Amino acid sequence: MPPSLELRNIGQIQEANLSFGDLTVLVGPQASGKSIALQWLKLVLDTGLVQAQLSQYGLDWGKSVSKFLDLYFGEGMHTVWQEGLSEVLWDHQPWDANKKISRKAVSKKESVFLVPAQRVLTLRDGWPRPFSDFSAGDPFAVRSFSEKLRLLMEQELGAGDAVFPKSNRLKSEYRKLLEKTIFQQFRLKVDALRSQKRLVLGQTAGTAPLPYMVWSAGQREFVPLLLGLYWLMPPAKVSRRNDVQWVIIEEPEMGMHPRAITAVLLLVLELLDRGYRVCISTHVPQVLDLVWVIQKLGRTQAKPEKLLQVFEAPNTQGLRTVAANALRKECKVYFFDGDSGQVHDITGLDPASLDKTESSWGGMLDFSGRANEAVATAMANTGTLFPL
Amino acid sequence: MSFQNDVEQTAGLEHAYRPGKQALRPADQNKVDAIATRRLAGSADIDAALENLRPNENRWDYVVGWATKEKSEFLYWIEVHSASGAGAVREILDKLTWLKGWLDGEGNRLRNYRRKIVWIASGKSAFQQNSPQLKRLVAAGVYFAGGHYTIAD
Repeated sequence: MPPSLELRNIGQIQEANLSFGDLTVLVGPQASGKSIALQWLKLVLDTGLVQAQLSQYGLDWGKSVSKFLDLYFGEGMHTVWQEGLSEVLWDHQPWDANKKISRKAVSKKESVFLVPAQRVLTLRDGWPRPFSDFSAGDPFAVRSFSEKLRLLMEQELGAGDAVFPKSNRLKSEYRKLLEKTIFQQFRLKVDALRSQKRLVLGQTAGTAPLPYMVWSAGQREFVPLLLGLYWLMPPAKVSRRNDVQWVIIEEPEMGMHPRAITAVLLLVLELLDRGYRVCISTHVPQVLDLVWVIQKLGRTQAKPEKLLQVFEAPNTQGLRTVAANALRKECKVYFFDGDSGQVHDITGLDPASLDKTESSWGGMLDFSGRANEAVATAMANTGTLFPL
Repeated sequence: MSFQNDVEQTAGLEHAYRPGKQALRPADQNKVDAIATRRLAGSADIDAALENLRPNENRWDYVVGWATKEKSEFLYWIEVHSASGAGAVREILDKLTWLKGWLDGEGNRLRNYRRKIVWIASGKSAFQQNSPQLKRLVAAGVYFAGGHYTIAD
């Protein structure tokens, strides 16, 4: 049985029955509950760790669910929980929020790594902010992610000056794709301004480094994600980090050109190859194209080279293995309907489905469809092919 | 112009006119709806009607008449066809070429109506609305409706 999370009457969500695949993608309009669902997944699986980290930084919620949820989801967000109405079930078993939150959990293991949508806020002046640098009203996911990056920089990456490209991090094929699509001629490195360490983009020797604030929007969005991926893909022969089994990436496409998104999605395949279960929320059809191509090529037992061609990735032995494993993965796609509060399984992604949420890929193809109809009608009546 | 009259005056379609969408084969009727069925001006199964006259040709499936709000008649040229493989777009373009040739000849009484040309998938689809292959069809005047189409103004 695949792991499942059921949410009832939580925030905008009236009912969500999420059965997770190896790769699970959530789509839906803004404020439809995708992020709430993903954060709830983290809370259910990492309750002890969340409690321990909050306590470590002097945050106390007593036994109050409401106070805890304000600390976890962010200020004012306790309203997502309606006492007596809200329900959470993990693997079909009730998850009693009052008990789970009021009692300190024994296990402090981290099984879910969450890359939040607000990741650009984790770097200040080019350096990850510590957990305590944020306000108590900021979401735990942002604070925790930022702290993780800070530790990574201080303990693993900050000693040398090169952060990207780095020979023992990521396969060389990925590095080349990221250079081509995101960093171009620049190198991500550590330097110091008046003894304060910071990440900068450097060109050739002798040219002034570019500080964080002058990077492109896509580079600013990508660097925290890159650092998160470094953490998930440790060097040497360890394929996964500690006890982490799940990776959540909110809106991996943020700020990036479709070619750069392609490179990021190839890294998602690497995460799957390493055995992580990956959940993504997105607003771009390109991510659903990834699910679609995995499903279609997988069912036709296509060669992994075909999948690599989609990414314009080199046909190397290492990437063929990653692609071959991806084609065996189970994918799931859910549409969060912000109007009804219902969550629909649209995994089929069939453009001919009679379920409009599935045929429009959760509304992401609606605009294209309307544009097609308008242009086709104009061409059918005034075009050179069919003059009236 | 009267849609019913023009259908009945077209060679090969003399007996093809049906009220509403009744000319559509039963399996295809579920794939087409209208926001107001009383405004459907009738339909004809071109493919079946011309089977003997023009065998072995890429005949188009249906034409459906629609009374617009302005009381003029508008034609929906509907093809229910597989969308499951890469060759489907070529097949639709071939059918479109046939339709154009037929409208320039025997079907010319139906040529001067405003129109939409709609392809409905008969089963699962290999194309999304943002597929480049579909954009090629759009440029030729064909709208891919997925598995269902609702006739509206």
